[in-house]
Amino acid sequence: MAKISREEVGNVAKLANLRIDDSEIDYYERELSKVLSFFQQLDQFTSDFDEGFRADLTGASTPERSDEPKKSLGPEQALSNAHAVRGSSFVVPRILE
Amino acid sequence: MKFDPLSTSIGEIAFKVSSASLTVQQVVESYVERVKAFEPKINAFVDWDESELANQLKPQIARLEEKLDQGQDLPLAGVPIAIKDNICTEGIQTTAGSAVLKGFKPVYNATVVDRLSSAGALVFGKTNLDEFAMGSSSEHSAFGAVKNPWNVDYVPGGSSGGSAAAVAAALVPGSLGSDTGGSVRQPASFCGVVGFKPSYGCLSRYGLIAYGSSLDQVGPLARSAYDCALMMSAMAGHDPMDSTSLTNVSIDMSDFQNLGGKDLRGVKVGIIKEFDRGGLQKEVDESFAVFQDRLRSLGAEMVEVSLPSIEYAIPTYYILATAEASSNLARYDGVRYGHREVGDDQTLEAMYQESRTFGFGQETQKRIMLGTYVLSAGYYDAYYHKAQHARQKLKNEFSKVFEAVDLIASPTAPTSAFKIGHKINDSVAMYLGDIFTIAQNLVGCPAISLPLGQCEQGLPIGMQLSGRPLMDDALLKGAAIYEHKFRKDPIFPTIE
Repeated sequence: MAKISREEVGNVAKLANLRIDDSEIDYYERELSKVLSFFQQLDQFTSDFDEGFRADLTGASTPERSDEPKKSLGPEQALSNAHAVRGSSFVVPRILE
Repeated sequence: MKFDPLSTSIGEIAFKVSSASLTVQQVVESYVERVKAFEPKINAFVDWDESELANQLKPQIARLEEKLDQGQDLPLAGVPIAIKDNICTEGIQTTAGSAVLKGFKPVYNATVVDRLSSAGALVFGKTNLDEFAMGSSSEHSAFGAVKNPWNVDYVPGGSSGGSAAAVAAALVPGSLGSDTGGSVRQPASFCGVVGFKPSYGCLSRYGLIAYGSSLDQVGPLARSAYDCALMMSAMAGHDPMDSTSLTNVSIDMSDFQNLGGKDLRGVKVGIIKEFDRGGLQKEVDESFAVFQDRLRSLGAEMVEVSLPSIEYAIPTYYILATAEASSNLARYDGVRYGHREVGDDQTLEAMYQESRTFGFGQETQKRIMLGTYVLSAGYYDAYYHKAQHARQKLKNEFSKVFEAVDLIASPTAPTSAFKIGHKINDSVAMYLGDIFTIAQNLVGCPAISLPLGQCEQGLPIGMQLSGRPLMDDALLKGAAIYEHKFRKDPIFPTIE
């Protein structure tokens, strides 16, 4: 069974900006290991594509739009769902001392 | 004139409202009465509130009546449509079933919502779902599990469980869901309604809260393929706001006239030989046999087809979907919108972490971590890169099969609905239930789930037809011909 270690769970959580308590680490270690072991089915898959392979699912190119200025959200709308706002800015915890 | 929500289709509502033989108020009141009676038992909506809904409907009805007075042609005039709560509705709370977005009110409508409104439809509440559309049971919602109207001890399927349950219980005549790996079709199957997943690029994703962007499509749920086609004809078409929206897809309703005189002669329907029928619930297998007989009786030719790579579809899907989710959900950081967890002397990094940890449920956190893992250095080639190869190979195999057949038939899910809580602690078992619906998202082709039969407990069963990419109109038409011949009047659950 593909095993993800407790340390790896911690690292992945950190990369994903999630805080996992010690009490939850066992749960995620077990659950992620189960799913990763299921993913190992793909070990049997052999690809016919060469090194330069690029996925091309849509075939013909998707349409582009002309590069013209258009109306977008005004500051009031853009800020309307923010937790903390000052003037026309989003407020976040201090990042510079 | 009395209006009966149980016996009136979307097309009939629009016709009667347009011809002034029915008022918008009559339609709205009838459905509100049903929601009041049944919503407490099935939890199909997020934060449903009668006066809130009345406030949302008031300006919509005023605009609609103005257009009707002007004599505008409105194919969805006065039709209440419930919208899955991961689709943005201007000024109306849109949560994606997550605590992280509780209270979030988008400042714009999704394009699909604007197009439904332009056709005369009314946004009639936001439906409950698995958080960020991640799930197959609608149990993973910060707003409580959705119950199956046929038996409230069972799940309605997911992730568009609220949208399917609302149509099944006739709380609305139609709804919108989203389908990343079967999330419209499987709940349609579990609830006994019709659910359609369009070709990738057929409907705009602008305003759909992203889960797996290369797989996500909005799709309609209704009581018939005809009603789904009506909704599709209002929504399909290029949208400059979505760079993956295509220009060459449209649904022409004139193709859907006089269906009684049409059949499926000359249509070849593929049966996938790699699917193991031994894994099917007995009644699902029986319904599938009936489905094939019915297609044959309409003149279709059944042909065995081979898709060798389909055995890799589920792991391929879950690698790609979680990878895309880990990137898409990075935006929830408590800064511009969504929940912010506030602490004393908090650093920016701690605010990100605390807000996300508090805001996301366990299944969502698990999928974000899986996606982060499969994309991380050292594992990328083994998982993500390999899954991309498997996806392309499957796409090529489907293209080859669709040179030989017009449609592919299968059950929608290997079983009917399962009991609430039955699979919640076994993610792999939950993922395996997506066996028949996932490949269509990987290759981008359209597919529809049609109700056929019930299991011993009286729970519905669904059958699926998949069509060639961008041939959405042909697939819907085939389904409408089938249902014209074989569907009886829709039946509705008696909710205890």
